[in-house]
Amino acid sequence: MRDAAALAVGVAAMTLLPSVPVKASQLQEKRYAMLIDLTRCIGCQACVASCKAENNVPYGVFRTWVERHEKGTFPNVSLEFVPRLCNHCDNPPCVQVCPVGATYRREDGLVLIYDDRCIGCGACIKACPYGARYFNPIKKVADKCTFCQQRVDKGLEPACVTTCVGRARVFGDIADPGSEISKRISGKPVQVIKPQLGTEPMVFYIGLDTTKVK
Amino acid sequence: MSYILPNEMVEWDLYIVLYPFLTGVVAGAFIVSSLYQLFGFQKFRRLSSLALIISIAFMITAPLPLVAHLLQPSRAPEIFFTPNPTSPMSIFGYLWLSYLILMLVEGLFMHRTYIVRKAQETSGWTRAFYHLMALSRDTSEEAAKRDLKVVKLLALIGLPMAAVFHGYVGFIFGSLKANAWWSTPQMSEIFLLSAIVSGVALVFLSYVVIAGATKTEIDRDLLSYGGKVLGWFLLLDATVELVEVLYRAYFQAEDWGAVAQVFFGQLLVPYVGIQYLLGAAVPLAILVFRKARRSFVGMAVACALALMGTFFMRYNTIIGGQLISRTGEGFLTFSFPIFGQGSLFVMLSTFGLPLFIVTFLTSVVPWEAKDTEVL
Repeated sequence: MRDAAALAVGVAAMTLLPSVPVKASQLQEKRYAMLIDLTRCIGCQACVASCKAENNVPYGVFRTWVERHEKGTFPNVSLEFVPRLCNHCDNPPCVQVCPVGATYRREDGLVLIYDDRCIGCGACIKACPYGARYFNPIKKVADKCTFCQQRVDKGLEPACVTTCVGRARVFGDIADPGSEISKRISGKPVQVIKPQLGTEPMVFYIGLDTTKVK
Repeated sequence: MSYILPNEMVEWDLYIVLYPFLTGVVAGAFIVSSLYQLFGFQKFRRLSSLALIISIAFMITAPLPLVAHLLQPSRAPEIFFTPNPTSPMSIFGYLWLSYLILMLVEGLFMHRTYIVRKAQETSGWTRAFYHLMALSRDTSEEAAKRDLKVVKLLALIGLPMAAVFHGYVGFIFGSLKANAWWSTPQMSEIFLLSAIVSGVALVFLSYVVIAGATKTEIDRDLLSYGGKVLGWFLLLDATVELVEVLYRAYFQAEDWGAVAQVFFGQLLVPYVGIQYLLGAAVPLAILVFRKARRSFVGMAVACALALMGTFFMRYNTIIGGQLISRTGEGFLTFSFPIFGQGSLFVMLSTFGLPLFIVTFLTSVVPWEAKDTEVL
């Protein structure tokens, strides 16, 4: 039953991909997304460490983290590692609630923050259903994963992707059918976290147990 | 095993608890003032000035806890310059400013005859001050009638603004679907009804305290009538809130287990003990008796308890909502410092400020409308 539900969610998520609302004028635009293949994640936390180093993430808060979920009952048990990060939603609640427009969504799908405009009210933190945002105790503004915008804008991949030893994380342009992420997604059921909220996450998973991960 | 996401914290602390409490008093007291101005509740005439003064004082103070809570308080004016139209919070700046101006203008018209007389009777700086406040020197009957029309018009515009000003606070919480406790369409009504309770309670508590301090004769009929109004709103407020909880319990929504664990566990004393028993059931029991409603002590105790209940409703909603993890399978804890940023001391000091403003304003204009000088 669970597998059927997961498959249904996966198929639903896959059908979302081609239905991304691309305007005629934006057909050539990029649309960044991330695919995390849980069957390849070994829970080494290298992505967490590289993210901290690349983005100077303060102690106690995280732009990405890896959850460990136990599945099954003894003796048939297994561990599932689930890397989490900002979902760079197509319909981001954090952008909707920001009172001063400090949080915005770029045309290529990256959800970013104007550090010099953020007033630090915390509305975006409260609105994010994924707990991806936090108050940066050094910058004194709201903060989160940017898909390593500083690297992506130079044509590089996010730090967590380049460090991933099992190539579990794949980053790229899903509007480009020739990109690795498009090829890895095509034909496979993929899932997103909390699809019922209508946020349309752009971080997809392969092998995600949506009943365990919340 | 507790499942909490690593970035989860109680970011909205005592400041954010205090903010809706202050705006609630604003809306509630303004409604009391308008009950006489618009709906002919003649018994409230005597307190319409005091209610408006309380509204203005709490309105001036309302943004302070919000600004104090910001990590970048110097950027607070951004809400005026770059408001995001999709964010309910973004209307705060404009709503606050326009509503404050409306109440100040209404206050000036309400007391214009008195202000003109003071401008004529006094000298020096006091005279200059009253002269500045007097909108015109005309003290004829026609002018007084015109003033009354203006006051009624402003009350008419102000009443829906009061509802929006406080209702939207509930909307902000109710619209956050990431939070199991907050995300309900009932949040606006719950906040608005408790706002009326707090406004009525503070107006009548102030009445008995000021009348006692200034040795003014207390109108027992007015006390009893106010007690009835407070009782009915208390009953309505508690009923709507309880129905919401009962509905959730009966519906057994996905997050009900977590909600019940927080509100009947960690928050049992502030939620059941203070909000419902001490803050609603006990004042209701007092207000049932006519003798208690007509007595100074009975009304003072009932109003103080109702105010405490309203404050704890804000506390339980805002803090309680954040104690439940987004996963619905884990719980956070909250403790506040006694001194320093976000502390009990700063919160109580902030609450003391509007009381100081009320004291100042009641020395500038009459708080009681006994004669024709106050409309």
